[in-house]
Amino acid sequence: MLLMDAHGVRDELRDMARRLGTVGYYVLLPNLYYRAGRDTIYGPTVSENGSAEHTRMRAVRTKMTIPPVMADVAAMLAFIDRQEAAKGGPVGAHGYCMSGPYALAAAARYPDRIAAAASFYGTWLVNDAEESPHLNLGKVKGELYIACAEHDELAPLPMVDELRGLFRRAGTAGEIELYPRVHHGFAFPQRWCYDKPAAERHWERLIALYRRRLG
Amino acid sequence: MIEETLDIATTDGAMETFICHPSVAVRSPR
Repeated sequence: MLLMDAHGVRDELRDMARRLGTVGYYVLLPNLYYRAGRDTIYGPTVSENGSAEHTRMRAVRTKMTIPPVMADVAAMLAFIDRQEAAKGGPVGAHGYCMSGPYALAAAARYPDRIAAAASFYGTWLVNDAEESPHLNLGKVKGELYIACAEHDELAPLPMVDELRGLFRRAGTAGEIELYPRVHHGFAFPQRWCYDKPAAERHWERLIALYRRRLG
Repeated sequence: MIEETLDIATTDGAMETFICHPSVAVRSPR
């Protein structure tokens, strides 16, 4: 499961899904904004603060919470189980930006199915939201990979340090890695802050995680 | 690569989902 960032499903994310597909995985990229209707696909100006598209996206994004997305994950797991082309057994979930917390929460909510989960510049991984990832690290049976950007106002370094401590105390398998000198969004090829070496590292780490845990 | 976009039924409706995978014949990533 490739879980979208706040800007929503677009060709950039479809291409990233295809890249994962090329190494052999059955990939789902859901529009997590579907509850707000079909008109939740945004144009390129969604990345510009204050633009009409950005404002339209924010109206939907700010209503997103973790529990409904966990129900969506359950629906995807049930769907996957019915697909002949998908290998049965463990499933992976990774999310970018707002979906970093969703991917990690999924590993805690469905510990017997989600064997690998990753967050890339996930936002507010330690907060007071219901099912905030930091609350349930001990429930995870799989392996987590949490990649944070050095420059990210949505995942500030003190939060990363706090999460690192909680992660260690919970005994969760996996790691938290800080990507130096990069900004929130570094893995997106169309983003102003795209950083190719860091983006390639994110692919290497993600695929290695999935190979270890999913086969 | 096989690609399709379809709705996955959820408790709250139909979630449009882009799906891609190598082929029906490939059951394992290895």
